[in-house]
Amino acid sequence: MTHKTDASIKLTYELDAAPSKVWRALTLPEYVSRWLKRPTGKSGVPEENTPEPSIEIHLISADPHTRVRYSMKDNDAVSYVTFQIGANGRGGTTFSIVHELAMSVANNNRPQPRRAAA
Amino acid sequence: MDLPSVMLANRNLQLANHISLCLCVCMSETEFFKALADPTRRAVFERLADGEMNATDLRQGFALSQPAMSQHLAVLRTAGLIAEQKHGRNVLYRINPDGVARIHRWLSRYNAFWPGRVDDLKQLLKEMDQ
Repeated sequence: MTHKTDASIKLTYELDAAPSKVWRALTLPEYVSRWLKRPTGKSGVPEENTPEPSIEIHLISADPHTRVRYSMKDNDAVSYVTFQIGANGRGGTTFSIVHELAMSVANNNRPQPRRAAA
Repeated sequence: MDLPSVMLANRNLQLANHISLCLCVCMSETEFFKALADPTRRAVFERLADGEMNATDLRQGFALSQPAMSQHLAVLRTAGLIAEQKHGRNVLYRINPDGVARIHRWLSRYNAFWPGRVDDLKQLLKEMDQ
């Protein structure tokens, strides 16, 4: 990855489900919308105390059964999230999340400052 | 001639207080700096946290050419993490508290976001057919 980022969050989880099942949950839109992008009111369980950002996600690329990458846009930032999965040797899945804040996208409606002479 | 430097020192102090306040709100300083992806940029940024300085002083102790330092400063400036100010022929760089706060907001928002989402993913996996 050659793009520049301001900041990133890296998380790893162990899941009991097999990688093929996790892969479907991470890539099929009807599943993704059930865990990642929860439309408010749809599940009937309102999350009152969690002011979670409303997010828009778009698939960027997928490397089947290994890695999938989405762009995520909330009210004030564009970021990129990469989910990577692998068999953990016990029938389950090692699931990692790398979430990167895109450089300066949030400032793109502001005029770029003049580049200083080197 | 003493007044500007006193004002400058005072402003640095205010800035430093502001930044350390921001840093205390949601995470340790180390966590914040770790979050800055590029190690060199992170080091440049950390040095500016001590107070504003020009590119030449900033370069002390870094094995960086002047163009490379300019590049890092440009990246940090584009990200809104630092700001520059001209004092005569001297350009001083300093931390931009707004940019720092923006990244803080993002990090705290998504550090809080993911655990809940992963819980929902685990729940979904239980509900899915093989």
